[in-house]
Amino acid sequence: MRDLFILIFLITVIGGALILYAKRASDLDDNVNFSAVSRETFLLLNNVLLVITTLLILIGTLAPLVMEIFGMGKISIGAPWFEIAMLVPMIPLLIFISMGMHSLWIKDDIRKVFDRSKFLFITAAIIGFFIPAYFYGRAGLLLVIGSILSIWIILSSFVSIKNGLFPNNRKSGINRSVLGMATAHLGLGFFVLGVTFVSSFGIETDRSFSVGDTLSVAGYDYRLKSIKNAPGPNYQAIEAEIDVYKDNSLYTKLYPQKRTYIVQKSPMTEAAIKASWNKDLFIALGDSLGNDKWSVRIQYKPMIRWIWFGCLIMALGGAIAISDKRYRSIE
Amino acid sequence: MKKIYYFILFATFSPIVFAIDTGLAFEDSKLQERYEKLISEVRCLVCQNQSIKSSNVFLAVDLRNEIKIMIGKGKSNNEIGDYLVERYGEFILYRPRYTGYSLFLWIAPLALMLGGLFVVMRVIKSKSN
Amino acid sequence: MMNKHYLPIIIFFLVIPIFYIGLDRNKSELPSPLIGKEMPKFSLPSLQNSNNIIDNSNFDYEIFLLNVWATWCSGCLEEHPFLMQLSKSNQIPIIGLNWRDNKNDAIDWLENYGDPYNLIANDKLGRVAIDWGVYGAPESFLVDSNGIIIHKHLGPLNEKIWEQDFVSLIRDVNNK
Repeated sequence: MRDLFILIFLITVIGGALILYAKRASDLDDNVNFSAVSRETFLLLNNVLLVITTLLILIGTLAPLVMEIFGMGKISIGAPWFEIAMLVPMIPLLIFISMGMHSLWIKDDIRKVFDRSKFLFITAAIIGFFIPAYFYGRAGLLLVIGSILSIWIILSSFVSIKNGLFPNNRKSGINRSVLGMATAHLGLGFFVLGVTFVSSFGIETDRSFSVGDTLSVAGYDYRLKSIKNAPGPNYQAIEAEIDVYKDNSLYTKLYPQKRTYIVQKSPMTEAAIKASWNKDLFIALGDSLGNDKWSVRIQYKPMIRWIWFGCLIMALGGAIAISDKRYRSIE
Repeated sequence: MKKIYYFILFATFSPIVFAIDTGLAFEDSKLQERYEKLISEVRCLVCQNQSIKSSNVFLAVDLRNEIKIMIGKGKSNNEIGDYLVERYGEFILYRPRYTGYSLFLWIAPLALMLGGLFVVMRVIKSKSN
Repeated sequence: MMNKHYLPIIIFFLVIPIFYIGLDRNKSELPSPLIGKEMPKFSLPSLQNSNNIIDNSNFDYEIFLLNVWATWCSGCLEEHPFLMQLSKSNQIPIIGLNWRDNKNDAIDWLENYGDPYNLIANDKLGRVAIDWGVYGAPESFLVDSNGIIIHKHLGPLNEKIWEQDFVSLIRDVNNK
C-alpha cells in the first residue's frame, strides 16, 4: 500500500513536471546560431554526456525489474556494472569541461582551443602522474586518468577564477557568472580527485586482536590498549581504547564502542573516526571472540573529505552565479 | 504471514552490520585483494541489499569460505561465478554476466554514446546553418 | 499543440505500467536454477548415527521430499505439524537435511516435537546445502525417481501450499 502511494506521488510530480515542460518548452526555443567549434558546442556535448550518465543509471536501476517482468530471468545489477558504465560518458565529460572552459562563444578555432589547453594539460599530466606515484607508490591506469583530468579541471578553474575576478573590462567589476562557473568547476575537480584517490587507495579490512596486540593497515599501527565497560544514558556499552601510531609516533586515539540500547536489545556498533583534510581513519568493533579477543573492521579512506568539500564548492559556485544580476533579469 | 515469517527469520539471527571475518583470508596481498573484491560482488541472499563481505549470516560465512577454498584451488573468477550461478542463479552476482540478455547491459554505454554523438551532430548541423 | 516536447510525457506514461506491475512482484522468491536438473550428489553422516552414511544411493524412491531444517529456524517449527501429518499419511517419503545445526539440539528437538523423517542427513558445515542452492530455511525439494528436482519451495509448508503446488506434480510422476 505504501508502495502504491509512492508510485502515485512520483507520477504526479514527474507527470506534472513533464506536462509543464511540454506546454512551455517552445518558449525557450531560440534562434541563436553557433559554429561547430564553439563554447556552445562544448556545452551541448556536456549536456548530452550528462543525460547519458543519467540514462545509464535509470537503465541499471530498472533493467532487473523489466527483465523479471518479461521472463528474462532475475538478475542483480550492482556496483561492478555501475562503476564501469559511468566511466564511459564521464571521462569525455571531464575532458570537454577543461577544454570548453576557456573557449569562445559562437565561433572558435579548434587549433586555438588546443593551444589554450596545451600548457594546463601538460602541467596537469605531470602533477597527476607524480602525486599518486610519489605519495602512494602506485599508478594504475584509472588512477592516473582520474588524477590528471581532475587536476586539469582544477588548474583550468583557477585560470577562469582569475579571469572572473579581474575581467578585461575592468569597469564592469567582478564577472559573477564566470566566477560562479569557475568555482563550480573547481568543486567538481576536487570531487573527482577525492573519488579517484579513495577508490584507488582506500582500504577496508577485517581483522582481530586482543589487548596489547597491534594491527597494521595502510601505514598506520592500531594498538588495542584496553577494553572497558562504558555505560551511557540509555545503553550499555563496551568501549575499546585504541592508540594509532604513524612511524612510531602517536597519531591519535580512537574509542569505538559496541552498544546495547536498553529498548532494542540487539547490539549496535559505534565506529570511531579520525577525520582530517587528506584522509579518514575508521575503526569499528565486530564480535567478541572470547579471551578478550575482538574482531574489528578498519578502514583507510584517503582524500575522502574532498568529495564533500568539492560538493560544497560546487554549491558555492552556483550561489555566486545566481547572484549575477544578468541571470535574474526578466525579459 | 510470509512477511512475519521472514521478519522473525531475519531478526533472530540478523547480520551485525559491521560483521566481519576475523583475519586475513590470504597471506599473499594480491590474493587477499582478489578475494575481497570477489566477495564484495556476491550478493547476500538473506539480506536486503548487502554483499557477503558485509554480512555474517550463515549463508554469507559459508559462501566466503567456499570462495576462499576455490581461490586456493586456483579457480578463476569466472569459474567461481559459474559455481555460484549454477546453484543460486544470476541474481547472486552483482556483476551481470557477459552472456545472454545481460550482454545488452554491457553494450548500453557505448550504444548510448553513439546515440549521443548522432544527436550532437544533428543539433550542430541545424545550428550552424 | 502537438510538438516534439510532448515526447517525454508520452514515454513516461508508456513506462508507468512497468512500475505498476513491479509493485506486485514477490521480492523474496528466487527461482531455483536446479529445477529440471539432477540433484546434487552428496554423502553425509546420518543425524542419529554418525557411522551411518547417507548418500544418493539411499534415495531409491519413486518420488521424495527433501526438507532443509534446523532447530534455530522458527519457520521450521511452524511447518513441523504439517510435516508430521504428511509423514503419517504416507503420501511421500521425507528426507531431512539438518542444516548448520548442533547434533544434540537437533535430536532433542525431534524427540520433543516428533520425527517425520525417513532419514536425516547431518549437514553440519552447510556445504551440501550450498550445492542445493539453499539460502533460507525451511526449504523443500520435490525429487523424482530419476533424481531430477521437479519443484522447490521456499518457506514453511502447509496444507494449502501442498494441495496447490505439490499434489498435482506427485500425481503426474505416479502416473508415468
